[in-house]
Amino acid sequence: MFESRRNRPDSVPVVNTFRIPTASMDVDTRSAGRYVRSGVISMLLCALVFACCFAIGRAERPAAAPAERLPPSLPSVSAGTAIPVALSGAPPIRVIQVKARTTVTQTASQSVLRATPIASSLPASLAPAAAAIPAPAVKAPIVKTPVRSTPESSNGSTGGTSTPPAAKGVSSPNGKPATKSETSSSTSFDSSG
Amino acid sequence: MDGSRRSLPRVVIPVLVVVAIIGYLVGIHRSSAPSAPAVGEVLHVASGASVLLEYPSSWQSATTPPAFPGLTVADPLLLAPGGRPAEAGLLSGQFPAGAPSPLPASFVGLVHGVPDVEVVSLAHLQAYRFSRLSGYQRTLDVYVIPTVGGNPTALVCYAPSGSSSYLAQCERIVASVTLVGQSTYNLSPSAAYAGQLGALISALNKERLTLRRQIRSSTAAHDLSGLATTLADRFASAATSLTALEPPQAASAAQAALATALTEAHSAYTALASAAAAEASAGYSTTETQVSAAESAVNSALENFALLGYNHT
Repeated sequence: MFESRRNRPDSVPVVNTFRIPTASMDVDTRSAGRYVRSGVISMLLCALVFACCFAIGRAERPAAAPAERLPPSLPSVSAGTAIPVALSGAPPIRVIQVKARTTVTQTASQSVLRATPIASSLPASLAPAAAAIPAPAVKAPIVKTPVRSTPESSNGSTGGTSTPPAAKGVSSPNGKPATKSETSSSTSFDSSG
Repeated sequence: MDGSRRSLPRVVIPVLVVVAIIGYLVGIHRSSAPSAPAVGEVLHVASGASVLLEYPSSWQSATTPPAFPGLTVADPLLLAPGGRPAEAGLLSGQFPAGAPSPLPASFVGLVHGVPDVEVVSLAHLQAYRFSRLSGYQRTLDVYVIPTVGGNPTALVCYAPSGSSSYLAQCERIVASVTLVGQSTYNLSPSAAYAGQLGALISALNKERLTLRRQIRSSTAAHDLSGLATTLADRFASAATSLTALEPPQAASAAQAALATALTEAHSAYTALASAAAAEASAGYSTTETQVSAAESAVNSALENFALLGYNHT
């Protein structure tokens, strides 16, 4: 081995004892550099992860609680039992009996109109009796029947109490009998709101 | 060497997890106290009829407030970014006194449904906040501060729809409000009162529904008259029971309005009973309208409690 070294053109004596420490220093330097590089990479990774998670948290914040908002002093759920905000819907009020009576009133009113000369000349006090004529009587052009105190129709109306509506309908302020719209509006009560 | 390389991920991975958690938490909790002004920010003070407002230099006083139908305020004070109120701003003033609801009825009538309301704590007092009301091509945040024996103070933040930055700035101004010569009271809804009132109204509602069904199915006038009288009595007893409740100060006007509405409903059903008893057909249309109007008034009075921050169904 020595001979071979001597035959080299640039025969510089190299002793193994010098080479070993040199190699050790190179390894340490490379290792230290690797550690530094790993540290830097780790720190950058940490910064990246922090930034990403910060962005995620910031993006989720408006959905959970709006940014830049004053927090409520008391959540509404802690206000106790719920108070109904409105009365629940109820079925409309309907007066069946009055409907029947009013229908008769309208028919009778029409009969009064048809029985022109005599019926229209009846005094107002008699008009209620005319209003009590049942529907079939309208077809027969006999207008004296009301005056003969024809009994109440058999639709369940009570005798004396039937007069006020008929009288009111016939002797309305404008002198006209109860109109159809008046009749229909008074038949049902829809106050369900 | 290999051992140390292998141990590196073991150290780094938990650190990354911790960093990730911290980053997320910092991101989600950042700016949780928006009411504090930025450090070094120059604040000006504007004074209205009974309010003092601190506002940043980027906002200025303005003179021509935009019109918000239903939200008319007395003694208006207007602040706007750059002094241009057409786009965004803060309108403060006073609502009429003695109303049972924080918002004027004229405005509530224009809003679809019941507005969302919260009781928020400002720097010195509490306020009702009605958030994100959309209308007039703008988004509104309305703050109402009731006062003892005075007009409620109204603060209306408005901005173009979708522009929340102006509303956030406006909210910071609102948070600094100070009332001058006015005293306020606690606005937090009372759970105990809500329980009592809710039970009372629910019981009335149940009885009303039963009686209305019976009225609907009744065929004789005297039956209807009796049922209407019973229902009238239920409304009267509900009004009496309501008067016996001790409301929080914030709900006293609403309770008075509800008691009045219940009494009017009692009168309406009494009139219906009378019309049925007399079989006066002309009176039915009148009582129909009267009953309908009275029950609408009860509904409006109940809505006031929802506007006061009480839970509602």
